[in-house]
Amino acid sequence: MDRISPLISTSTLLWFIFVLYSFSKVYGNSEGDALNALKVQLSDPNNVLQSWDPTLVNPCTWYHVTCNNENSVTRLELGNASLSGKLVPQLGQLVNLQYLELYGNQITGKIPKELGNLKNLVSLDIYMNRLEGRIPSTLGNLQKLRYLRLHHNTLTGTIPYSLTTITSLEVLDLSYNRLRGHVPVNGSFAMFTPKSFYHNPGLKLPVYIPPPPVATAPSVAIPPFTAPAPAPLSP
Amino acid sequence: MAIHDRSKMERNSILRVRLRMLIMLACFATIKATEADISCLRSIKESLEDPSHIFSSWDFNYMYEGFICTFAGVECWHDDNIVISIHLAGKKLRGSFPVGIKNCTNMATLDLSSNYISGPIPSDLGDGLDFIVDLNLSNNSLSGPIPRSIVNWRYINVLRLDNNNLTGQIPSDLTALDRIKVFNVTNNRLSGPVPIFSNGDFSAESYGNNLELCGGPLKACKDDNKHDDEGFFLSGYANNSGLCGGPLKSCKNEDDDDLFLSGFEVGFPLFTILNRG
Repeated sequence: MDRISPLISTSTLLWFIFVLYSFSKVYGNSEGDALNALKVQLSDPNNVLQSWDPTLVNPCTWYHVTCNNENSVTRLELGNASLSGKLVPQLGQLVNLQYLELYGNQITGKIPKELGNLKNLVSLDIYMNRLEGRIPSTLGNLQKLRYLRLHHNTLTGTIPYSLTTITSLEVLDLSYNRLRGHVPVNGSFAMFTPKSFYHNPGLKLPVYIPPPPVATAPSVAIPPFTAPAPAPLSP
Repeated sequence: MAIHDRSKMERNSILRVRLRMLIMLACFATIKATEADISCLRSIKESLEDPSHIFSSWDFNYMYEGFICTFAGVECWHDDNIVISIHLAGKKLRGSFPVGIKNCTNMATLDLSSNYISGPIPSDLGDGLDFIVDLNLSNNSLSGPIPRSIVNWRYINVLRLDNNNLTGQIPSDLTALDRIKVFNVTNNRLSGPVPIFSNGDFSAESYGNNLELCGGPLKACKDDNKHDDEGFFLSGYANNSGLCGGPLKSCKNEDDDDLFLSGFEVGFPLFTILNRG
């Protein structure tokens, strides 16, 4: 009996340590898992993702990844990296992400609607890729977004009206796509000009009809001039 | 068969030449936009004295794709040498308004507020800057009129010209600006009627402390304006000694009319009295 109880307590202790270790590994690395899911879906001929080692405790040492003081990812900078393949819904798990820079690649597929979960996102740059499908209306949830640049893709469908609720938006570029329908002019879109929407053949820009010129009313009523009746011809 | 192949080849080569020309044209077009933006920023640096050395990062000696996007106070659409905004508020800049600013044809925001910029706003500023949305020139020493050409800024949302020495009238055609939300011309030397904006008048706070602005939320424009109109029509009737009435001296007939009326006033009661019998 005396021999068995230390054995039981030791193995129980070992089991607890194992569980705790696995648990902490999983918990601490969920953002690493999300990024790794992206790496799996991308084709990377230049090996820019070579440093992305999913066995590390967090992705904060990976190149092109920036973290904050709590080891949570704030920036993902993979512009002009010759990447192809698709984006993944797991990107929506990077809850502290502020800058998502994926421009100038050959990424195909759709914009995941899960990107609408990135409540802290300030910059969403996926311009100059080969994205298709609609702009998810969930992007209207990105209430801190300042830069939304999706130009030079093959996005289709209409511009979601939810984007007009993002009051922080400073730069919008949806040009060179295949969007259609009407361009909103309300909310934050009042400050966007056709330059944000050019080269979308099916997109209807707001028609500018200048109001009729308002004549400054004279203070004196001028009697209308009536021409005198023509004098009858002498017989 | 050989002839068919040859014409097909010719067609292909023509297409290739056309494609090459198109690509060159497209490249030229983008380069042109870039050159305009570069000349815009050069004009700013050359026109203004810079005691706080904000322009030290504005180095035009080594040009590369997107180099102007690294300049302090300058933001690009993306990293493409196309300026979207210039923020140079409170930098102690001194000199005349840089005339080359209108070459930043894709600019949406320009903030030159709280500097020492003097002289007139270029009269053709409105002919460029088609996409300007937010323009702040407040707290400078700008003089002269508000250019009429700014009516071309159809997307302008915020226009701040307050705290300057601007004179003359506010162009009445500003009524056409249907996106404008903030319009401030306080603390200038403007006069005349304020524009009637299509989305409703601004409050009097937009216009305070000027020379003699009137209309809109302010007091109605005075009879002085009436005299101006009369003066206009007077000149149309000049040198005709027989003309009278309207804006001219009153006709003698009017005196006769008065006489007629007073005669009626006497005659009618007399008539009724006399006919009572």
